[in-house]
Amino acid sequence: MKTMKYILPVAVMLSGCDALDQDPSTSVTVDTAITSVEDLSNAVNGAYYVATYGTTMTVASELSIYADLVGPDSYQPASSGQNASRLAQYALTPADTYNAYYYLYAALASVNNAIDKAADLEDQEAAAPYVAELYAMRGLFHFHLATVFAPIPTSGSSNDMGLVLADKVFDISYIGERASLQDTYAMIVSDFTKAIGSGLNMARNSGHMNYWAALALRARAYLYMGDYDAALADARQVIGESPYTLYTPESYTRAWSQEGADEVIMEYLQTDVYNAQRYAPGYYTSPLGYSEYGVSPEFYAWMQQTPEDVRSQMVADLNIAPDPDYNPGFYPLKYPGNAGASVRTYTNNIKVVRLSEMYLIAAEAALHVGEDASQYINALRTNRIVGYVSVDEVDMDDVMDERRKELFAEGHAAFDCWRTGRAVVNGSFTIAPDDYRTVLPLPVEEVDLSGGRLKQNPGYGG
Amino acid sequence: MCRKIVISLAALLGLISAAAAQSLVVTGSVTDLEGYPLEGAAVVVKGSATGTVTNEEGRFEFKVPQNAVLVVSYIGYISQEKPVRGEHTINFILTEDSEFLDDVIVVAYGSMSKSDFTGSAAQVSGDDIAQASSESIDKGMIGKISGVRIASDSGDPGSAGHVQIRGVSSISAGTSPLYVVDGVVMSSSTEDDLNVGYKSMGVLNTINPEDIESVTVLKDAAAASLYGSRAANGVILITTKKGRQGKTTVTYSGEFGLSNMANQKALQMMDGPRFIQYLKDAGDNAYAINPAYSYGYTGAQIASMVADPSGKTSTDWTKQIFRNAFQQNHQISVSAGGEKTKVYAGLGYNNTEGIVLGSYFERFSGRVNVDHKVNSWMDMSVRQMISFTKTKGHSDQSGQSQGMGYATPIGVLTQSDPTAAPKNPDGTWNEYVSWSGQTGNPHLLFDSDTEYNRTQTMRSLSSLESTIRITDWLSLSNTLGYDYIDNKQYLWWAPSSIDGAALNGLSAVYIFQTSDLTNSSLLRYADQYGPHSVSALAGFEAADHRVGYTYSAANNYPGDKLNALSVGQMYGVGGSQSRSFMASILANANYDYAHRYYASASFRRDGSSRLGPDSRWANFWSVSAAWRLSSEDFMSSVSRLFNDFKIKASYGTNGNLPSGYYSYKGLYSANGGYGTGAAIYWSNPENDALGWEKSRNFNVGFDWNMYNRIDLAVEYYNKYTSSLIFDMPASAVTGFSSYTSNVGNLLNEGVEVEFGAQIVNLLNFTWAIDMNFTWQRTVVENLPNGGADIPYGDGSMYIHREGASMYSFYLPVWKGVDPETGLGEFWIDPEDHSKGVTNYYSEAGSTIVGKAMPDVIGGVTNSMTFLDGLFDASFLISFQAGGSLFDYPGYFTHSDGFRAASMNAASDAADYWTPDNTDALYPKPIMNNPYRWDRFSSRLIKSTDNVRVREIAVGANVPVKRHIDRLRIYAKATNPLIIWSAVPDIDPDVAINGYRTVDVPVTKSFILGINITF
Repeated sequence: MKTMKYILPVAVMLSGCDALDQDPSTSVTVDTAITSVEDLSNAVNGAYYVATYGTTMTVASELSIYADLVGPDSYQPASSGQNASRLAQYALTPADTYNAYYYLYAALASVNNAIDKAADLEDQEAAAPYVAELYAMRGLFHFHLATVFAPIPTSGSSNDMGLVLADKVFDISYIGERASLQDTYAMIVSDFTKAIGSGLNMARNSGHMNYWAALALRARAYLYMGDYDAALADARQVIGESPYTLYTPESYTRAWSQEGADEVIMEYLQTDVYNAQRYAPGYYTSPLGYSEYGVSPEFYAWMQQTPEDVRSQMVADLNIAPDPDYNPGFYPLKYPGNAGASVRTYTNNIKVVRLSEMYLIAAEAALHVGEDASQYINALRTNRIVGYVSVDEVDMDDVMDERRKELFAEGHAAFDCWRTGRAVVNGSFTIAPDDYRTVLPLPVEEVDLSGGRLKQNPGYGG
Repeated sequence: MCRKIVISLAALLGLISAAAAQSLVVTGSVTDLEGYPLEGAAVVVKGSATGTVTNEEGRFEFKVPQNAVLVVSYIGYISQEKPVRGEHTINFILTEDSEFLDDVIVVAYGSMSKSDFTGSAAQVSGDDIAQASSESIDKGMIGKISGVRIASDSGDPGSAGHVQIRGVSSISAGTSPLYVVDGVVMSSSTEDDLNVGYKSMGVLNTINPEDIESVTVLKDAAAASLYGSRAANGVILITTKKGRQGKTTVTYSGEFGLSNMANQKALQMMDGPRFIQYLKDAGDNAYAINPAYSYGYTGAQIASMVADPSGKTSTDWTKQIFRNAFQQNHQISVSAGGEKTKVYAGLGYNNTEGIVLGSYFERFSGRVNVDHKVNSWMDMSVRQMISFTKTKGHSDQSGQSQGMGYATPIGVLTQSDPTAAPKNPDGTWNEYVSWSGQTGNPHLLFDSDTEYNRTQTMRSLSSLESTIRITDWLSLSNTLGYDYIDNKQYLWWAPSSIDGAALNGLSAVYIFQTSDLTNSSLLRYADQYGPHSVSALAGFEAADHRVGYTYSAANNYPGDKLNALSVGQMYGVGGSQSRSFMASILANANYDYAHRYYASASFRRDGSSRLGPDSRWANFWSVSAAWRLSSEDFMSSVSRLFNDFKIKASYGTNGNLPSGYYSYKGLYSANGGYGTGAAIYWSNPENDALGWEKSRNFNVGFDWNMYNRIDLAVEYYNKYTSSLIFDMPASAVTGFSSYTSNVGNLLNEGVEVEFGAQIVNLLNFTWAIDMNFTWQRTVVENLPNGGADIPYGDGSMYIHREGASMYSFYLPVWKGVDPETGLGEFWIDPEDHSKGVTNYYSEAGSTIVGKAMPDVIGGVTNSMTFLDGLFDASFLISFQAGGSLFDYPGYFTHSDGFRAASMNAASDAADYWTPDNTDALYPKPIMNNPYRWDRFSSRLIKSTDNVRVREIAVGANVPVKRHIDRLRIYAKATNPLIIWSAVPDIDPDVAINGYRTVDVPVTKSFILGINITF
């Protein structure tokens, strides 16, 4: 007993030397994080995890339907004061956009860090597809940011500011300046190109950026830049060579709850554990959820004019018997919830790019470069409209109407207006392509921190 | 050390003894209750100058007259008289004078006579704390100690209280003081380590205030730097009750009471007719600008959508949500002791209902303290506390970084339709009372089993202290402490509940476990050489802190009936562990010369696992000195005025650690996933250089006793914190929103005055006043990046700016309502009004519009006794001035129509502009108001200046003769009255950072109690 008294504190003291080095239970140090190709594969997943982090204003929550909310066909059956209705009212201020900015850049930091660490791996051959995917992700995340915080190049906006480019790992005190819009899109294309040329996986893998996803998104980037030859070439390659097939009228309505459906080239995976909860588009489009994203009665009526078109079934008239818990309205049905999901309104994969968009890009680009566009529209409509009879000629209005029908509620509507020089007209709002509200304000935190180096978008007090 | 006491004047006189006739030699001993010999006690013949002084063994021997009466006196003990009556041996056992006990102060790693203490510390008795709150210690200290500010997140029982000693010494690291119970450092677990964040939860209220003997607050470096790295925010030493030698006493105390919202003017909403009018006006004003703002409806159409458009139904939802809550407290304690062993045991039960429907706090606590004298050279003490607390409540805003939780009291209050009746005609609760559809009837939401948040906490606090007296001037002691907290949180959202609908029910269990193992070994030395007293200690300490949590949740419940996890389907799991370790050596020395000149020094070296290998060790030290001028000859002419007068000064350093366990490490988190795959991502940037936050403390002051009746203590402090641990904002482009770094300096300074006076001291009436007053300021001195402003907080509403106070609000300035148009106006540039005004919030510039820190805080206690102590009464008034709060609920309740589609407005918001009311307080309401006058601006900054009665207590000591030693009945009130408040319709007691998120305002309570001792 007596000896214990002396020994105990001494023992504790001696063990104290080692005890002062403690490690967390859910993290590893940066130096030891990526030591195998498997670690690298997990790091790729990690960047998707961060980009789709379960909160408001990420690419898995409101940003996935941003262009729809600010577009011509949206309508709010209810307003719970959440970000979706505030976006639809063009009411976000610089104090409201931090998440939209942060999570994509945080994902980019992980991407760049993993690219650096991958260079130290022994088995470079096995690592190559993952490194290529990281570049493709870097292009994708920049592309998301560019569409939200910068104008689309073809919109003719006088704002020519692009993004702060996250092309490497930065020191923590780094303050970036915005690149030009041109340089921003050049980097997006360059990252996709680098990925395509450095061993990207070509097999179907819908939750990941594979070869076809990089190619398809590069086609979209070229379209936004007005490089129609290049857009057409990429879109054609995806149409002609990729393993994806168009939905049929039979499969179309069922495809939205499936993972890796026929057309899906790339989608953000959402699971019971990792999802955007009440900020998910499924909850916004549920009459029992926030109900802040419905479609306008006009859009509903327009879609119903062609009942033989399977896409008319993707909007619902839920103005049904009064139930005080139920927000009546017209709702898009593209977020029914993943099959087997525990909470369907929370959990729905976010489609990033589908094959049908390649047909639409090809058609649009073909019109610009003077080639035949009808083949693409006919191919698409054949798979949408029962008893469709092919047409010989289509014009730009046909292509835009087709986009409106095919891609609504998937993050395209407003962009398609502005980049083609048309204003978004929705209720009392008329937002022309050069309106300051076509882009979101950069977060006030970033602008304030930069001490004047980071220029705010015009019209937002910067 | 306090046994080495000056020889009293009487004893000195006694040395000049004169022998008398018929005398005999009397021998004897003087000991205390524990049998320790008292050296230097004066033994005199009553009424004469004859006397002697006891020797080292406490013995005396001298010649006295046979019929003499001996009087023994010893400082700190009650004097005793015994007639000689021819006896040759007379032994005295003296009992400690409890009056004098107050002057022994518990200090770092020991205790000492208050008059010998050179640092700055204040002590409050356990009784004074328990009188104010039988629920939590922090609530019991409000207004009683200078330099100490106490605030709660919420008026919910069981919610966390925050104690701030001498301002705010850190920006990003912890600002909470260190708690030490009976010499053992309590768990350093923060609320984050133990709480999932749905509602505020305090750790401190696991300790029963009724078991507390005293609480000491250590303020300056001299007092606190022996705790080194953890002392930057001050130290609170809690001493629990000990058994006493002598008669066994059993005490029962019981209390019953009621509580309600302290400020009944707060949270008043528009009534039914008023709300209908407001909707109509907000709708019409919106329609006129753009029908889209009112969803295409006219005001009249919107006003017809309420539950009862006739205006005949009007429900005050404040009264439906908040209630008169019942509380009770019971404690039985036993104190017993013999020569070798003393025991204190206490068993307590507290049940406090919250003022929000359905909420409560319940605590069972038990404590056993045993002090045992093993033999002549060894003592052991064992202290064991165990407590079980349970709370049930509702979500609050404490976990909300932005936006309001719907199913919270404030959420429900604002969204309830005042034209909806609480009940259906058939007597059942009306389910559809929410104007927005996102909340429900508070009776169904809060007072139901379909949606709740419960916590169940077990805490065990054990310590074993062993002391070996090697010689009478050297001892070795070892203290081993183990603090274990297990907190389980149960969340249940039934499938039919508002929050549970989307998930088809959710049941979640979070288990938080923390343990703190601390061991300290100290060698103590104390001796006296003539007038020189020297004491010193040296030792080492190790502290091992572990936290862990496990989470499991299930959803898709078959119905509302069962909520066990196994009933639902797997929804999520999680878990992690963290650990920190600290190793320390410490030493301290005190010297005094004849209780006239004092000098002390202390040193501590700490190493922490929270910092990188190169910067984890740091040294902390202090020096202090005091001079008792009243002992000097030149003061003798004013010896009554300067009955005791001491000046003191100290200087030293303290430290603070990052609150993160691994902040310095560059990390990849594996705490995620993508699809079904594992995921790792870069989660923390490396910062090897991260080091201690250090503060330099200077303290100077005096303690003055006048005419043995008036006490005045004045101190000035200056605390300069450098190398602040700071969450530096980083550009999102780096991948991080912030990183932990050592930058910037912070200055705290203040003047503290404590004044006490015995105004009347008659047998039938006594009246004493105790007053404390603090002037303080906390200024940001230096910031990184060339001193650039750092905005932070919700919507960047706060700012760190060099030269500005901590917690400065940085917001646009509201000019008022344009009487012509009814539109609100902000200054475009608040510092240059020539730039004019704007109607649009987004065009308004910001400036500092207030600060949360008050300049002045204080309290005054009046205590009275009547009829020789038969009746007593006391009341405590507290005051503060110079601070502001940010009225977060006001952002929702004064939205100028912006939220008219989803929320009711405050009743005072009815004074809005109309063509007939052009000098209105508020602008005209506009649904979905495009101007956004409601957004954070100076409109939401309100003064917290107030004077309020904190406590009133009246008691009677019922004279009883048999079986019962003492019977006391009393009535008391806490927070009964706000005497004056700058903003009458808000309770000024808010969180320390001034952010009024409170769902449950401060409560007032009225309590009846009884105390029986037998």
